[in-house]
Amino acid sequence: MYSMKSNQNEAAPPKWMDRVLECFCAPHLLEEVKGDLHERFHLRAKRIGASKARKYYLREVFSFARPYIMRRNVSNNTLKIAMFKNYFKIAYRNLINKKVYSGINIVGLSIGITCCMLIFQYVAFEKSFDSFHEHETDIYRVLPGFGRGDEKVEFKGAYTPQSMAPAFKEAVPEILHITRVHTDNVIVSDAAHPDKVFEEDEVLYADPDFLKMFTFPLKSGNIRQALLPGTALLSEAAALKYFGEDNPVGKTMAVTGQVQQDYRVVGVFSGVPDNSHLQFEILLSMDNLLKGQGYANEPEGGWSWNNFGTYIQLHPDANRELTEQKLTKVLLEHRGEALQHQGYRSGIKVQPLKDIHLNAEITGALNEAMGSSRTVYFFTIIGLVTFLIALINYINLSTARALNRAREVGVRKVIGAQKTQLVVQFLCDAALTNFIALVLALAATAWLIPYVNNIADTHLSTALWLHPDFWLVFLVTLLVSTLLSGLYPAFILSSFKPVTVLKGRLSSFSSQQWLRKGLVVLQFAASIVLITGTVIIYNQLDYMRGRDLGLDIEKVLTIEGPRNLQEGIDRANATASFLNELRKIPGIEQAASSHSLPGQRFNWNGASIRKATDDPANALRGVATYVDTSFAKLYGLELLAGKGFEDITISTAEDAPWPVIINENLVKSLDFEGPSTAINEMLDIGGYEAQVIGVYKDFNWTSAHQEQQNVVLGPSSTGRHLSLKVSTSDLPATVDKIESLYNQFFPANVFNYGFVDQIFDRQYRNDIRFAKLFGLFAGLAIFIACLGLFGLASFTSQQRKKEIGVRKVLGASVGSVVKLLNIDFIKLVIIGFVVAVPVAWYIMDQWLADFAYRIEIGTGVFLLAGLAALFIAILTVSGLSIKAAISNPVDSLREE
Amino acid sequence: MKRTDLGEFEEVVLLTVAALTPQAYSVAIAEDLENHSSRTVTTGAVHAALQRLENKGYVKSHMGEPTSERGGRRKRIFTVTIAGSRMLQDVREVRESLWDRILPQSLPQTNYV
Repeated sequence: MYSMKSNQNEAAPPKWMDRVLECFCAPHLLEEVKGDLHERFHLRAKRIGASKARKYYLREVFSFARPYIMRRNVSNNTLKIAMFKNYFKIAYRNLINKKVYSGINIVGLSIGITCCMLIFQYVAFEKSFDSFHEHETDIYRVLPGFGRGDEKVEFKGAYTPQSMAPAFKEAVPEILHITRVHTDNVIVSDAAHPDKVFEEDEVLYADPDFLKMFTFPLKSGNIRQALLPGTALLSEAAALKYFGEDNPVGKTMAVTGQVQQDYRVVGVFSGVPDNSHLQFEILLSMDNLLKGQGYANEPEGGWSWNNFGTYIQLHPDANRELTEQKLTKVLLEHRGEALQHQGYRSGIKVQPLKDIHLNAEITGALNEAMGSSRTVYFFTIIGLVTFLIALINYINLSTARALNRAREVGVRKVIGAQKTQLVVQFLCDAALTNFIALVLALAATAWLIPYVNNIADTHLSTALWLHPDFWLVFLVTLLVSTLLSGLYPAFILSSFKPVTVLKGRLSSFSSQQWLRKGLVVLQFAASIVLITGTVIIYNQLDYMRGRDLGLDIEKVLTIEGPRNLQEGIDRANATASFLNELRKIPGIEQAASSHSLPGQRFNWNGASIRKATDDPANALRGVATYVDTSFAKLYGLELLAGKGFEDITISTAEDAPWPVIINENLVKSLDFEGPSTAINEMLDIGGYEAQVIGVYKDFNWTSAHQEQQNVVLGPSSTGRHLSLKVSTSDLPATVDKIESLYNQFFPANVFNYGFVDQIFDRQYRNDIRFAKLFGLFAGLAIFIACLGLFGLASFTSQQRKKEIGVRKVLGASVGSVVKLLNIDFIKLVIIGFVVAVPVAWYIMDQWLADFAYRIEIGTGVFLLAGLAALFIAILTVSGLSIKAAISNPVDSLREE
Repeated sequence: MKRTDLGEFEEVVLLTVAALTPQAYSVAIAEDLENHSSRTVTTGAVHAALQRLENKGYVKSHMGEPTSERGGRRKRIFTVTIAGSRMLQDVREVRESLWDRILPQSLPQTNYV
């Protein structure tokens, strides 16, 4: 491109070099320096020609690359401070003058930030699990994996047998420490006061390495004796409970759990932090559990009962993959043959300690405090979306109000303000609003934490605020939200041309309309996604909790059978006569005993089941529990074929096959033609010979997350879970009667009761928490979006006051004016709806994929959410539209 | 801290300012120096020397009128201060007293025009 520049010499210095100069030269020196350079250039050009002069020019420019040229004018500092003061003063005045807009911005932003802070704390807590251990990065949990036939070996559980740890420790030098853990719930008493008994649910048996690996510092006592045979350690709370103010160290306590044993207390540890996946009040020596009845007689050399968790601490330099290979080798040496016989291929992986909590799909042998990475991920997204909606409000309202401030911008520019100064000024506006919002949000968070903890069963606390990182995040949030909310409006406002704005009408203003509309669409799309999500989550919850289980768990009261039985008393007989006595109490219709309850885990998970005649490689995986003869009737199990346990006499002969009742699902899995063909068939269940005596219709023992399993019921009359079907209007009296009977039958035990439907429902507490938090945040997000819409609508109706006046003078009705004003917003909501539907469908389908029993997403949900959003939008806007429509046109038209 | 010494280049620039007053400014000085020596003198070097001299208090400056060859930009015009004048006198005296002490036969003959 070339152009004729008549007023300039043809020889001109290269523009790009001038630009280089502009980059480094301080503004206050630029005029002088550039002048010098240009004058010198022209002198040279006259003397030696333009092209040579240009070559010199570069050298000339760089001859100015000196520190004093680059240094910005420092003497202006006081002036700058004064300007900043002025910016904030103006910002403050704007805040005070436009109370509605400022209010909407501040309230919106502070709610958004509050949501973010609550979610941030929740996420920080979930991510902090097990990070307090000194050797955190070297500790792993052992995951044995199984696969059958050609299937991939899957690592889905952390259940290991007792003999695994010693074998590993002996053969793999990379292992510094190794410990097995096993949970129990026990009855405890001070050996000096055996009459005072306590129940303790959180008991952990562990090997002596346990305290070397994990960081649970002792408050008192001797760590060298910790977890040696016959020793116990207590948490501070437990020590206070059992021994009062006395020093517990050296005292003896009697514990009845899986084994009955006296332990000497050798230490007290401060309580286990909330963010530990291992939760326990008492630590007992693993040795005592293994030597007690049960595990001491475990078949197959202690390799068959997978009831233990195994944790290892590797040498810091150890290679994880290599160690896993070595561990697999050790496992196969010991178990290869036996597993092959059962049709399994097997392997070992180790799971880093920090990955345990958020990987709930890998279940453990303990009552771990499990989280969900999916939940954390969902909430992070919701937090950001809420924040985004609040930021959009600010951007929309600021750009919409630009017209009001255009004159101010014009005057400032005429006086000599530069664009950067105006940008800084508008960023100051944003900073002030954001700062106020942030402070309010802090207060709101502190105030809300107890409520959120209460409704959502979380462990949030303001203790985190003492951490310097928190304040760093605070400052970063202030900076980021100021820039995000302020930058765009600042550039829009500062780019107005003074001549245009001061002349009067500013028409270029409409060019940002599309952006503002786009942002409103985005806000409403996000809101509709959240509404849809809430509805679907609650629908799924209702569906899960209300679905037909095939088990009648209503009005079933459950009590725990005795742990402590006096010497010489047979458990089966004692339980039977106790149940008989209970049946005599009016209001108790039926009574039964079992080894587990609906909503709890089965007793035997991962049993390998096949027809006795089948190849072991084709065995299926199933679960089993043991029930008495009254159980099926009490829970309303429907017999499809064969007999129930109540209809047969169970042979006590050594070689008699084990009579079992299986569910319909197992009948199908085993390829029987129908329930009746399965009767009397022989099965091999985990090496035991079993005979099918009956088939029950499928029932749901566990939550809707779990698909139908292959269930085996075995007969037993020693179950410790007693179920009582009650039909009484006076429950407390009945419970009192049960309690006194219990104490009479089983002294030195603790009476506990519950309801099976509640126990069952407890499986959904994570889902319920998720639903509540989701609903809460969705509601807040929608509220913020409405605030923004309200602000925008009030602005628009003000903007169009004259137009409305003219329309009314020309005969427009109130209704038509309201319609005119509303239609713009309704269009945006509808576009938002179109955007939201596929997004919501995709996200919620992902969420539902987690459930084996799930609802399908119907169109009704979307319609509902869309109509709700539309309704909310119309409600928000209409008040203002009506107000604008019924105003007297004289008021709006008489000026000017 | 103000430095009071005077470098060789600074001295030359200071003398040129005195010589060109009242129209002493960086471009003029640089051109002048370039004319009186065989090497290129960049404006930046002169500007920097003037800046140092001003910091030391030997020159003072004010902004002049804009001119068209500068693209309508103003120039900074320098004049020698009393301190600068005194400094130049001192330097001259030192030099002259030294010259006075040189015997004619002490310097080898040079042949220049």
